[in-house]
Amino acid sequence: MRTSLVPAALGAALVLATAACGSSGDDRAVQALDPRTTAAVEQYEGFVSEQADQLLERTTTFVTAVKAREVEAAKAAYPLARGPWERIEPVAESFGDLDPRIDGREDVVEDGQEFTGFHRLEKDLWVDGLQPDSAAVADRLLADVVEIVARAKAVELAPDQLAGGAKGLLDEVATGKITGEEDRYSHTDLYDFDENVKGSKAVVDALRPVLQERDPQLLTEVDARFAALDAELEKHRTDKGFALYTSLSKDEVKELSVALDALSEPIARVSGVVAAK
Amino acid sequence: MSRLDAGLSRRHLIGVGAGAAAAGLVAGAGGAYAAGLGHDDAIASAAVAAGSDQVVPFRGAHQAGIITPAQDRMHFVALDVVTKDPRELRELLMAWTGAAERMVAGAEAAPGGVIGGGPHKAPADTGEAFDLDASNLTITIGYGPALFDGRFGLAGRKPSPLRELPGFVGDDLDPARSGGDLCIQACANDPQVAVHAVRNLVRLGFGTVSVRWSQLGFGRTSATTRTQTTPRNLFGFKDGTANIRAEDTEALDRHVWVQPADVTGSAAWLAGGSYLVARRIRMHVEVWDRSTLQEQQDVIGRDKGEGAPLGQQSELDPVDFDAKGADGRPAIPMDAHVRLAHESRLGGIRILRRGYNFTDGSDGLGHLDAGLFFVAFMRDPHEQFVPMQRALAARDALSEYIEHTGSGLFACPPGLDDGDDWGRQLFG
Ligand code: HEM
Repeated sequence: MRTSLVPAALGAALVLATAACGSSGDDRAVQALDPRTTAAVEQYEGFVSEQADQLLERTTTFVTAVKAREVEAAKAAYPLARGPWERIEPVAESFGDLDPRIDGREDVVEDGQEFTGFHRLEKDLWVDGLQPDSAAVADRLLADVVEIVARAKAVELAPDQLAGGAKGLLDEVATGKITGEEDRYSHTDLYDFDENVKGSKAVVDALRPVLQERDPQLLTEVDARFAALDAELEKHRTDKGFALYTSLSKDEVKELSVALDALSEPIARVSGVVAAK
Repeated sequence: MSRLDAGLSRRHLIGVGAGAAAAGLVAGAGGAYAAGLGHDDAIASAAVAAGSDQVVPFRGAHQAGIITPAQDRMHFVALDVVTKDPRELRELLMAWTGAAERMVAGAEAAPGGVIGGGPHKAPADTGEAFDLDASNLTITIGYGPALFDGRFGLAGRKPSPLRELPGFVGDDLDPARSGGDLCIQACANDPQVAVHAVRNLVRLGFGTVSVRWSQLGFGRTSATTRTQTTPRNLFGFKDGTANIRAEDTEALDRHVWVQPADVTGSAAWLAGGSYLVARRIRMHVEVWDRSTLQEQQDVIGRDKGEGAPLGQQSELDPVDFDAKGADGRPAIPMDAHVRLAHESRLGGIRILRRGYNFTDGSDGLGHLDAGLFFVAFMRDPHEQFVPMQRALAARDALSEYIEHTGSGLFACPPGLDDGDDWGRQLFG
């Protein structure tokens, strides 16, 4: 979780989008006139909605296993349940206190707040063993996810938020996953890595017609670098999913980081292209 | 005139014609950059008026940053090329040329780079040098042996002395602090200006190159012109006294600049260039500090106060290796650093030293991780640095207090002609 990274901006933008007034509101109104951007937003909102459904489904599987005290099944379900979450993380994270409850890390939880959610159960499953309150934590996780899913499915986004989200997802990887911090007990960081990248790619796919028209060269560069990063990730795929973060050598982590930097620079230019009239 | 009064921060250069400058570069009209800015002279005189800081010319027969009066700070970075496409590398070198020329003149890395791109774009210049002037910034580029391994079709252009350095007795080299396909040395009188330069060049390179290691130097340890005072290194001794200086043009041709006859055929691109040897040398300052003044002076072979050769009075007195002390033993001990490093012991070999003091925090054991980032320029590393370092590694009394922890060898091309760029210069 990186509450400070994306959500502040995104949250503010959400307010503006719904308020649709003031000078930056006018700005957005102008952008909205381009039918390609409108279509991009619609397509991406559809993606968010789909992922939200999957999040609910997979979290239910995970929570059920935890409550049945089926540790191995729960461990297998954990990285999969997080997948859709990671794909739409900037959107999911924008809902105030729900994010720390669902995805808060032990050291990031604020004073007076309980350590709950995915990472609390991760710790139980991999380190402490299931606790008397694990089932209650699981119930609460599911309830929080139900709420966030409802909100995510209703979200209305502005075009510049899409571009910001594509970048935000890669920032998440750079600051949380490439360091092995996110899943520090299960070491399944590469699953999250992969899903963040997929989420970023979903944004680019939605914006593809816009980019194709306004800056085809940038699009070609972005596509090539997504492919290069995927190829790096592919090296660590196993029959079950991905290798554990802890099994990677320093050189392998660096190779991933280099490919990620290479993609992040052109992705950062997408917002300028989307904003250009 | 108001512009001159205002000084020459990047901020002020924006409105003045950085755009025109870029246009000049794109048009390939060499020197158009300065013309676009207004007047070369105006820049120089404004800089003088603003203080001691000046704009160091970017183009010329040799690259700046070698015999340029050693600035106070440096940021050095070694990079690996990560692309497999030679065209991308070539394009990056061209983009670097443009950005470097702008930054050296005190402008932003790209026209309007800090805020001119508007609210919806990530700024093209990172901004931390926005209010700072040129600060004597120099940006010097070099190419490592590995760049010519065939990945980029450059194998045929490799100058033969650009071979990896051998190991030396006592080396404790960290691979994470050694080697690299390319290097960029940024020196300036303001550390923020040097770091800004490296950061923006690295940023332009994402996807094409990746940082392998980098080093900050906080204080110069050498003098490269006759007018500069001699600074001190972290052992507290004057360093750079016997250095080759910019005024010694004959010595420069003999020891520093690669001569046309050295690099015939397809390696001729390096004529007028120089080899850069970098060594990150950890200095065990705590141990040194416990040794007596006499021990310290015997190790170096000069006195600590004046920097005079032992047995002499003042710093610039000639060294006399035959002089005897009161006890009848050599005034400069047989294993003293300056004796072993002196040309008279090495068949006339000399190098141009341009190193920096560094501290990289602490070592976790209660000591400073401090030392000398040794940088030297020469005409042939295997004929100059290698025999010199071999002699030092084997016998130098200094060895007890130091440890070489990083190493790099790079060929720095000559200066750029008007209109030329690093990509064309390297690839032909
Ligand atoms: C931490 C390591 C080192 C320290 C503290 C150090 C210090 C000094 C000092 C104090 C001097 C006397 C002043 C001067 O002439 O500049 C000197 C001279 C010199 N050093 Fe070093 N040095 C170091 C490493 C090296 C290395 C690695 C080389 C080359 C392989 C080298 C080559 C020389 C040369 C050529 C001279 C001039 C000798 C002469 O002609 O009198 N030094 N050094």
